[in-house]
Amino acid sequence: MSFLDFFVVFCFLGGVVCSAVVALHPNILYAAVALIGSLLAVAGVYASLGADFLAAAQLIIYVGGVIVVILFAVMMSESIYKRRFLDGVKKMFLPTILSIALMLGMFKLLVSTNWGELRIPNYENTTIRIGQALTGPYALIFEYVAIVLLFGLIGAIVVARPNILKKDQDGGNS
Amino acid sequence: MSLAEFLSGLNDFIPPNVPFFVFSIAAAVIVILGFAMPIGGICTYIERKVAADFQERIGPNRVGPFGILQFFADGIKMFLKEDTATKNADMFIYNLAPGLVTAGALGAFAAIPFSKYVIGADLDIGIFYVMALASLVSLGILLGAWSSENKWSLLGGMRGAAQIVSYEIPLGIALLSVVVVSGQMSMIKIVDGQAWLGSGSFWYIFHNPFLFLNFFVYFVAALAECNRTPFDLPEAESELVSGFNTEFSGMRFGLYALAEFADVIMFACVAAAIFLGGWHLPFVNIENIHLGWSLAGKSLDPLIQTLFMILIFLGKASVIVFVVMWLRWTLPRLRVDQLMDLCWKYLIPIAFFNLVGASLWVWIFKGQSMIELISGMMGAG
Amino acid sequence: MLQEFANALSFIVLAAVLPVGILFVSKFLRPSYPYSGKLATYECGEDPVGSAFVMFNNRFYLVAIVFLVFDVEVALLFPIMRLFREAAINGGALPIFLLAFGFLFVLLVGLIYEWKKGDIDWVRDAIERKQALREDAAFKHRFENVKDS
Repeated sequence: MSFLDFFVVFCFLGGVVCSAVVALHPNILYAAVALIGSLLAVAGVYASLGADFLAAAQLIIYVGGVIVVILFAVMMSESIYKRRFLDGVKKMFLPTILSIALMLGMFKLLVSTNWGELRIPNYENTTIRIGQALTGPYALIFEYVAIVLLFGLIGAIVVARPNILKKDQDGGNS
Repeated sequence: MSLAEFLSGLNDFIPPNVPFFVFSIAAAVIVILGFAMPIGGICTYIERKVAADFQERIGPNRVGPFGILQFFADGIKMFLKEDTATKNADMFIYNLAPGLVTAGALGAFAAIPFSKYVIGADLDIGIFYVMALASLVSLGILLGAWSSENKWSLLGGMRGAAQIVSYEIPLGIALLSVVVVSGQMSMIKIVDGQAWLGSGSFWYIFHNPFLFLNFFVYFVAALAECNRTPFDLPEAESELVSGFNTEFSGMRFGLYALAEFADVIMFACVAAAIFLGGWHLPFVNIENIHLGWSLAGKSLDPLIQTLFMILIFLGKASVIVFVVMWLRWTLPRLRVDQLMDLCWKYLIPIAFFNLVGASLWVWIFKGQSMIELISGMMGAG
Repeated sequence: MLQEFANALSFIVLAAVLPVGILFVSKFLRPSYPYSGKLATYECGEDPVGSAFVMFNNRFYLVAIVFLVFDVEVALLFPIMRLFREAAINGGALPIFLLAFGFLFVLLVGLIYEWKKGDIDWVRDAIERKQALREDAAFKHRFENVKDS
């Protein structure tokens, strides 16, 4: 077992543990912090496959962006961050059934796929290849992504806009 | 070639059969524990002396000659201070937050090219890696402010996170414009693109006027990323008590302060590498210095060249750090809405405009700099 | 190349383990004499009033969302800009230029929309407030000799 194998197994195990905390912890802030751990584990898996650009992009976009948005949303109101989730056996019943069904389905998929033979990843010139793909075969999808981002931007802003009902309602000062 | 490879190449001075990861860890220890942390500590002392100079007083001069050992004394004091966490503080996150900030600030030193052979990791995505680790700092501030159950910390932390997160965009666009002009993302290749080869290729800040303006966009964005005046609203000493680090005492506060300075030094080093030519001097090619000294039968020339390169690089970075300190004692603090307006309504349009301008320049003039064009015209005419 | 990743990993691991080690050492070195006054939240010397929750303002969340979209854009532009210089020197830069700046322009339209609607203002209705102040009877006299700005 080389160091790379150890690292990949460590990332997977860490990702599983952190995801378990995300799903099961009653305090939502700890769940958000554990999400950081699982996203870092995914970045580690990307790096071990040689996708350095993807690992760094995962850090920038997910850990540096999405988690900040989630934390701002969690800290937004007391009714969110003081709530306890999944407290009690009765609330865990249906999620457990669904999760076991999903796990059995994934095992069946794993076992019945023909994975082919092991290939060594290509570690050279990842960024250039991504650039060539984005301006080559996937150029239309690239522009489509721009439009989807625009929709997301304007949609999220319109939904999250504060309602200025009365002139003297300020919405707090900070 | 990274520092770890360089160390493992010193075959005469090390016993054989040492596994490679030892060199990797040794490189990390040398750069982080030998450079980043001591220089971060000394910078606190230098800042106090510089501040004293600007305010016409003396500054620390008791501990050691000229007060040089002041930062040692401060460090020891911080280790020995009592931990005054509040009763309701969320202890796990309270301890995790300074760790996140430090990991982000110190981990980014892996991609800083001190010289051609002294770089922590010669990654293909050098600049992008620096940006990735700098985005961990905002998380640390937000979580730290939240976990200390204090209204003022929370306000300071949220403002701080909003500020750091907003200014990452102009920072990224300024870095993008350098990538457009140089065509590389690896730090060593970007620095090598600014070598004086006699044909007029010079520092990227003088490559075209759009990059010149983007250097200042980068500088302002880096100031805001490190929470330095005039953008130090998160630590606003006159408003929010001490902002997000109100309830942190002792070494936890020390880690925040160290991470802030390490951030400043890191951004200054990156600016020196990508805009100011790194280790290249205008009319001199460092590789041509051959003094002919030798030690134990091997020529010392690569070592001397590396030393010169490191000195030149650190000289440029220290000029930028000095300007950062100068600004702290010169400019008043910006109000929070002015700060956000500056980012979204001024810096981002300016940075985008310069990005478009720089790419048009590269396209029309086939990647030549202003100096190459002028010398080309004078040579032909 | 994989070796360089390992070097970067050792940096990150060292930078993450260092604060843990420092805090651990500090735990043994520092005194600990807590009492309720010391453990209370700091509010400039007064007793803390109310819980530690401030009335959250939407502006933080709006700024974070706009940042997220532009962050994705900057990250996606990096590989394309990497190709640009070679394509400019060797020909074939027009499609790359159009693609990259089409992408940028679409998101710039979004930024301009938000600017005009006042979503990236920190104080959301600053202009309307000034207007309302001018029309308010108690303050009208202060604006009498002031030109419209």
